[in-house]
Amino acid sequence: MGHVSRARAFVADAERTGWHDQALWFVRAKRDAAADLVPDWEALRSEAAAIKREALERLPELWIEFEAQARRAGAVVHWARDAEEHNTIVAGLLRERGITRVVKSKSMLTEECGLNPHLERQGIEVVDTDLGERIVQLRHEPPSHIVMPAIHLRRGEVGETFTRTMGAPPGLDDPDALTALARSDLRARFLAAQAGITGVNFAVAETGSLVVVSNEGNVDLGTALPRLHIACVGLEKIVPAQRDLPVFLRLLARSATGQAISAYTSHFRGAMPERELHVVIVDNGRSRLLAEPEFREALACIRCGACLNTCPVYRRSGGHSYGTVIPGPIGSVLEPARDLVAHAELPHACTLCGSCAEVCPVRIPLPQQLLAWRGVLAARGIHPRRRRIALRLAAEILARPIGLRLFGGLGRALVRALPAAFVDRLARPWTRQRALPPIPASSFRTLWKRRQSAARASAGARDAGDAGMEGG
Amino acid sequence: MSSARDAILARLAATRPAFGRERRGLQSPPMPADAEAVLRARIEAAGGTLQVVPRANWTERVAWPGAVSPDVPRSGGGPPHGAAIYSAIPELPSGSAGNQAGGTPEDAPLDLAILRGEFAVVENGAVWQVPRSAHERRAALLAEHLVLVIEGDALVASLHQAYERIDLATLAFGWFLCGPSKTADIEQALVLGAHGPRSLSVVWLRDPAATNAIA
Repeated sequence: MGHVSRARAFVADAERTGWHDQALWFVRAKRDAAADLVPDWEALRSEAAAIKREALERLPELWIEFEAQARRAGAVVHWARDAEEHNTIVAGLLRERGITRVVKSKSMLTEECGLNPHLERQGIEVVDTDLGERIVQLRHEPPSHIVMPAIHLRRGEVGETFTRTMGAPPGLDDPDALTALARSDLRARFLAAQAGITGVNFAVAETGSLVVVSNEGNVDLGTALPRLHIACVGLEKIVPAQRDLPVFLRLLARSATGQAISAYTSHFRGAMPERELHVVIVDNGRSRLLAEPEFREALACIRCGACLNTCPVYRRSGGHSYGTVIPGPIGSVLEPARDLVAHAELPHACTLCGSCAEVCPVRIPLPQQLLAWRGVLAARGIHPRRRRIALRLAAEILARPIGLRLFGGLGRALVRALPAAFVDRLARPWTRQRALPPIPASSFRTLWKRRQSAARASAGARDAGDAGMEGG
Repeated sequence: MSSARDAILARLAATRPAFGRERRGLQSPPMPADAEAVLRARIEAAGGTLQVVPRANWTERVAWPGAVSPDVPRSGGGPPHGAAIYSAIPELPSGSAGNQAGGTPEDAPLDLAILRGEFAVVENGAVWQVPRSAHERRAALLAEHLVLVIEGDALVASLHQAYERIDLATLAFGWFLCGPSKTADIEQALVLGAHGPRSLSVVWLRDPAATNAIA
């Protein structure tokens, strides 16, 4: 099943699709309003883009520096080549300490590694504590957005989930009341937790610090209460120095939700008294992506989600239609690098409108990358048979002026001769929700020739100025 | 796992890219002329409040959040009578207001945490705070209401200037706090008090004479 068929399931509910589209566009509008309040916004984006690329050029040195600094401050640093090593390290840390109750705050990396099912198989309870992530966890669904994990759900569905799992009164759908219920349920779990697992927004090489942001405060409750904090960090999250942090923190929340800054921006360095901090540095395909010149700039991503919110395809097809951990434009660049055949439809789930590149805070050339993936797919012949035949035919016709002229004339004649209903069916799926435009009687070439000869005929009667304008 | 470390570092060294994109450097934004108004707008946009009061008898002047119940009468100035308080401010002791007994945040529900902040960031309304103890950090999260007290020359224009005043190399933990804990995960409806405090009030102690220092 590919993107198109999964999207079909989402758009079957027209009311939901419309709401989803508008809700995300509203977030995009808030992002614009927040960016407009920052006079040096474009310079800020360029600086962030430069710093991230500098970091990607210096990854080995920066991580060695980070490791030394973090160790000096009492953290234990682990390295994981892939998801399996990552999961084994985390499970080992918990098992050594006899830990069975863990709270986790949002981390796309642990989602990517499949950490939750791995720990659950070993009898360890993992509670996702971000409200949106908790909702989808209770529904046994993956997140549909990297910042707003439950954006695909309506309040009634959240109410039903809470009725089933938390004893909410049937029919309860007030966001305040539902949040209050989740708050008291999760507060008890925070207090009972023996370890907190978090992702990382920025790792600072110079000081060995980790920066993690949240709005709900779940990152902090999950690390302030239990004795053990495990921070899982992808190789791309490093920045060289403390002075680089303001550049990213001024961009991140504004790009993500239109907030000037998140409610909580926490800086951890080493282990606090009577506490343990373990940092797991994860590769899992990142070094492989770094070797791909056309796609490696995607490693600059700071996971703000702005490209999802602005994408006309994402907004109308929903995050689950991508069938990936990270959906939307950035997911459609990253995920084919993991498995091109499985995600062959994703580079085509894009209109090349360019909106994602306009909002990306670190200037990742997403449209160019999506186009490049299409080139790779074509070169390797990874296309559905129908598209392959259609493209080959189009290539033959479009490469020859005579072919285009003949085929155009034939097409216009056929469309006029055949019944409209039949033509509509031929043009499916394009005509599923719209009519074909009226087919012009003559080609552009004919119209142009007619115009040129009319212009020549009246040229003698014209002023020189007019002719000059036309010539320009 | 040193084999994983060496393998990863070797791979990274072997695939080193060269993007050729130079840093240009940024001009730190200047302090706006109406700094207090901008700060207030940013804090309120984040769901918090800003109170600017003179230092003398400030605890009597502040509008305290955290009424235990609307029926409990306010005891004149100061926090509501009977509120369970964690305070890092000498002027107000921890314990139950009007009945001072110590306690840790986990022991009992906490109505109010009062902590000292280092400075506020005008551009985004955040306050930089460094907890003096593990208790202090937990209180900031477990209390129903949070009050952050900043003093004197306590504003910086933007995060750039903020990080010039911070030294992460010597800091096990520090955080920017901006407005109360919040979520919009159910249909994008904003709810304050997702996990942590339901309100955050920034109290800026500023004597009239200090006004000149800001401009």
